[in-house]
Amino acid sequence: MASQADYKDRQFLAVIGDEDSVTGLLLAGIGHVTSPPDNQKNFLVVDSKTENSAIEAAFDRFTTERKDIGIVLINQHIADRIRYRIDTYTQAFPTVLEIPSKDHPYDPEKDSVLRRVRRLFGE
Amino acid sequence: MSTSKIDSLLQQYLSLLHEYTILRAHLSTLQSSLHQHLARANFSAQPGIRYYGQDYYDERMQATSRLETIISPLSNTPEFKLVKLPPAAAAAKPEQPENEPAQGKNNSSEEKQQQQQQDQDEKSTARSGGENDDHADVDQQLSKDDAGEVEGKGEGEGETETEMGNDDEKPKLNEKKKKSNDPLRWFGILTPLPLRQAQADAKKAVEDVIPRLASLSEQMKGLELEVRRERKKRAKAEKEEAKLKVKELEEKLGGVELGEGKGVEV
Repeated sequence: MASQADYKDRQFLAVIGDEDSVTGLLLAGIGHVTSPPDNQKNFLVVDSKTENSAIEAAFDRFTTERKDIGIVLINQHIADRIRYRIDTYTQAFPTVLEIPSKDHPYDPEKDSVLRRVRRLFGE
Repeated sequence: MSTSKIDSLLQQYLSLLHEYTILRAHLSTLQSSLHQHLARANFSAQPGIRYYGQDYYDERMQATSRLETIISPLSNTPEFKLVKLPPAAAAAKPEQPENEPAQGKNNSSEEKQQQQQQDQDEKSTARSGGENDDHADVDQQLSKDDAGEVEGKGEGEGETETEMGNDDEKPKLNEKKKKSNDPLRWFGILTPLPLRQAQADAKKAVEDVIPRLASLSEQMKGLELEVRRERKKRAKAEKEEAKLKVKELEEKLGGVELGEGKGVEV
């Protein structure tokens, strides 16, 4: 299913979320900025002014361009804004996980894993 | 036979789903507690800090824990684990910038306090993170009150550590002092208790819950594929069985027709 080289170097988590969610997760010590001149961050703080295209670009960067990310965490309400992108994402690596945020509690109806479960049982 | 295999796969799948649901609930609780603590920290923010948020992120932050992925031989799906880098290893990483100007404004005694706190953290690993921080905070305040005594102790510890089989003591000591990869330090030296509680919640979520959730998601994906494959096999087998039956019936019918034909001829 996955080759050795595919997962070996994937040692970071990436976050796309609102400011509080990102702050919380960075406090846990997962934030990483690559060495210059790239200075690539592994997180994106999304607010009401952030364009959907910027979110999508970050999602693409974390899932396709960068080969050092193993899990992408995304706030569920932000995932909703690029739902078509999340639903059509089928790569083995990295794993995408939706997490709740301050203003939007976790909704199992929207969770992509539970949607897969429903599909398997033919609903 | 294939039905029982599908059933056992589904049984496995449902037990994974059960674990996933429990972990999801756990993550939701941790996240809401984290947000509450953050809100409390922001409510009683220290003077000079507007909001504990992105304005204070260190632009050259380095991850203090890394993901480890193992492909489980049984299910052929990845299993994630978050491993904390030892402070020395984090400093030795090539990506680590050599000098951190952000630390420039901290005077040496504050650096010693950090060092002391880290030492204490290492010693009392059995205690929980929140408790640790509390004790460290008390110690920090202590060291502020009667700086000489406690700092002296901290210095002594540092020296004994470096003396153990090291020729160039001073550079190593400096290097050790310079690094401070605790993200709490972005927000100052004495951070409020709610912020440290928020950090403890985030650590729990990131270390225990999230890697397991991701592994479960991948395992479930693998099982889904297997179930679909088995279902296809079963459908194929059923089709073939049906075809065989139709053939048998046709043959029987053909025999009857032939017999009737003969009867007419006669």
